[in-house]
Amino acid sequence: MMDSQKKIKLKVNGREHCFTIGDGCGEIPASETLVETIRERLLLTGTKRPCNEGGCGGCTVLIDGKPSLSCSTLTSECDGKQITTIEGLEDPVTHELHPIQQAFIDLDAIQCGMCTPGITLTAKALLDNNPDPTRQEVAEALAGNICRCTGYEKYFDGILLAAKRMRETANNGKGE
Amino acid sequence: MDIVGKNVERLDARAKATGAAKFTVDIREVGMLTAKFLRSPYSFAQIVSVDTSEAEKMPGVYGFVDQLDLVGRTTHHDILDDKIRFFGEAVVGVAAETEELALEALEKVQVTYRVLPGVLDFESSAKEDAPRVWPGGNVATWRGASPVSQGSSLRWEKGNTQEAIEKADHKVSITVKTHTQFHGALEPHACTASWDPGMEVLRMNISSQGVYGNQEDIASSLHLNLDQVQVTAGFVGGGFGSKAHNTCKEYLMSAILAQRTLRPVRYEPERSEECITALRHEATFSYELAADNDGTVKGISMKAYRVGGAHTSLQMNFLLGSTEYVAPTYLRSPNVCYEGWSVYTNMPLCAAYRGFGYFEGGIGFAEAVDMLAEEIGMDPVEFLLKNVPVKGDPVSTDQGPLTTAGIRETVQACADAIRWKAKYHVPGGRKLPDGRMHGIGLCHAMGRATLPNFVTSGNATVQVKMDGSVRVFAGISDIGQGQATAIKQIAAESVGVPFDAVSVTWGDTVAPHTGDQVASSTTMMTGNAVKLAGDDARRQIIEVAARLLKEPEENLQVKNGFVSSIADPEKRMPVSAVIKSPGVKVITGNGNWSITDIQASPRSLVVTACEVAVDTETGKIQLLNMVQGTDCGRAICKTRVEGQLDGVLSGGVGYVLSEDCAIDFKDNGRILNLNLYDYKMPTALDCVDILQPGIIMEFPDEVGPYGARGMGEATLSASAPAIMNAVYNAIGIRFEATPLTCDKVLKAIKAKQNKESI
Repeated sequence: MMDSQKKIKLKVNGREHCFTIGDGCGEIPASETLVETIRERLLLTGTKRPCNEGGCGGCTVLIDGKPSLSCSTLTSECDGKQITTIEGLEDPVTHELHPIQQAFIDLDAIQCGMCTPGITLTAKALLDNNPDPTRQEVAEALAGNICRCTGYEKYFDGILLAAKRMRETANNGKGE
Repeated sequence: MDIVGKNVERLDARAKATGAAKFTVDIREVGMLTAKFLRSPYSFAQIVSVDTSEAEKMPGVYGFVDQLDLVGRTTHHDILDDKIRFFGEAVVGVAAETEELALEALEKVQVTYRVLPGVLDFESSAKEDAPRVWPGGNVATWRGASPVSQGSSLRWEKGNTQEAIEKADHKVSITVKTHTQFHGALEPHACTASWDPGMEVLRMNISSQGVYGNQEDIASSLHLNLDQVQVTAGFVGGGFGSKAHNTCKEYLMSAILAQRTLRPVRYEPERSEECITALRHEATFSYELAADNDGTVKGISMKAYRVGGAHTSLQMNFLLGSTEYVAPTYLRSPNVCYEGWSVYTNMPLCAAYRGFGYFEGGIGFAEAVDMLAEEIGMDPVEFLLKNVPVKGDPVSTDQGPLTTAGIRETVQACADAIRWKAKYHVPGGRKLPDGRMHGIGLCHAMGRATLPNFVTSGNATVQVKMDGSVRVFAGISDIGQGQATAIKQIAAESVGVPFDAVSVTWGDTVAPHTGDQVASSTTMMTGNAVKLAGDDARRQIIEVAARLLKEPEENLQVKNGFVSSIADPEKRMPVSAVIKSPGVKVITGNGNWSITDIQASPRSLVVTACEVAVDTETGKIQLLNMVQGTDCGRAICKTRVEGQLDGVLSGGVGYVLSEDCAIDFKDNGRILNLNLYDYKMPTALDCVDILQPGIIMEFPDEVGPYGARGMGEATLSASAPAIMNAVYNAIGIRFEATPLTCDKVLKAIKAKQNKESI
């Protein structure tokens, strides 16, 4: 189908990528999912694909700040969107990690690590909207992210610790 | 100790937190092809012919391999033939430029099957006239497949159990059926394979918890020397037993495709394929337990009936885990017997699963213990405290002396943490303000912590470099528990260098052969080998330094990267200067460690106490409160032990309360919920505000490095029976099958109400 040719722009972790949707060589099929584009074309393999059918949350990325299942999102529908993957959370200059990542490391929250990127991004979206969540609210936010190793316990602790640190940083900023 | 026992950052924490860690599914190479597999629509069939001629014509399709290419090759301890033995087994593999092309190619492949009658469950397999899965018969034994007429897979006895049970004051019996479970590791059984024709090496990345077993299987099947196959498993996205001793046929086929196409090949199963790669199969256990009036156990009799799946794999070992790990080990008793059957069926592979058989074997056992305590009129915790083994007691089949010292103390600590004395009541004795029934339960589980020397040994090498840094070669994989970091701590401690001076080569067959990451054995097997290798390196450092410092060897120590005089710490030199000294340049320490069960029996231990609320209107069980405790000898890193204990909420609690495989026994044993939404693994919402902080007891184990003993495998195994017994305590119903999903609980409640109203 020649008429389906369409150029799209994605901004992934602040970097712009242009693709052509179509069936030709080097073009992205209209049926390609965002997780494939991210993993196979941009080689950002921090976004995982444990089930590829929306059952585990391992492929979660932020699309315009909202946690989204990249295995169930078509790339062709992401034109003009800002996409954040796990690779986009580290400060490219200072290499400082996002407070959630740092808290996970500090509390030894991570085990096998396959669910970690999805959980981190889901948690980031939560804290961006709710800087002081309860444990129950954290659990509700993570309800779509399956973890088989940790029982979620240290993830809850890590997200609450990160929230606390982020609030303290915000308050210190106001004080200066 | 400077480093062992400290809460150090795990060495892969940052890589995992930032997404930089490359798991097997993340590895891409130039020119890499994708492998996909055509799968059998029958549970048992002979492959008559395979025609790939049409598919071969497709551009972008590079090569094929099929079951007939595998005839005579070995995996899962079976010599493969022209038959497939379970629904969904790989029949034909293709390597193509893209996944889509590979799938299109498979559509054009023609396979002719001769369908055979199969057996899907225990009852149909364990008949004398049943179709045989393998020619020798359907009963697994240590000697191989054997006919049903030859009897059970294994049996063992000490004392005279039947007589003891008859004579005892009290006896109980129960038969419990346990169900099938998916492991649910988020990274599937994936691999990559590439053949290097120059160096004549096949390099594979496998999402594995046993790279050496994979290496052996692949090398022998491909007629290569052992070291012509290099298997790497850097980051592994979970395993829980499913990736131990599991050289999937797809790995062999991917390797053959790589050799045939001279291109790197990757295989990543879809979730529906992953779910049938390995299972915890259903099983049935019958127990008779007897005790005297004072609560002393006099006899334990156990019968186990296991479904073993289509391959020999670890069936017998798993059966041993179900029986000898439990009946002659969990409690002291002068008279114990067990008899076990494991039968081949046309179902997927029987793989290890946390609590290597004792998870399911322990459920009925703990229910029988609970019944016996009730029969005698004893508090179940008091009954446990009276009967659990103590250090030095003979345990297991070999009756080697137990080295685990803190079982009673851990039981007591968990009972205290859940406030057992205040909360325990008679069955059905406490209604909560919201109308639900309250129940409480406490159980223990014990697994291995070593493997016997005829199975494997621990080996490691430590190299001290010119800058004073250290490289440890310890090929264990790290599927999430943090073994690589523990190895790093042990090496730093034993050589005497800072933690950050040590790098670890883990999950790689370039390191000397060492035990697979199974049976909670890494800490002792490979941990001891690393300690010995580090000690060896330190001894050599001191030998050289003694000459340089003009000080007798026995006066020297290595600490924090310096060799110094014990009497005069100012008299010292850096380790780097020792290595740089003439004629040295590198110091290599080697460690080899093994043990037999008769020498000593270290047993991992986990105790679970929990409270539940049962809604008698809906059958819904809510877990209100749970505490897990372990005696791990010594925690090499406490936060990591806590993390292991926390893991119970998924695989353990989920098994009893929500997870169930829907198996269609009328249609080839096909499993209907091969995904992560119809198969109900616990979510974060199921786990909030339940678990108390883990209790870590440290009674040093004489066998372990620095007293440490592994504990990961046992972490799920006390939870299922604790919940079963708590539910009994709540509503007075003794369940004889798992899971306890709402429908089954409600049905049982209604049946009880009907019976009582008659």
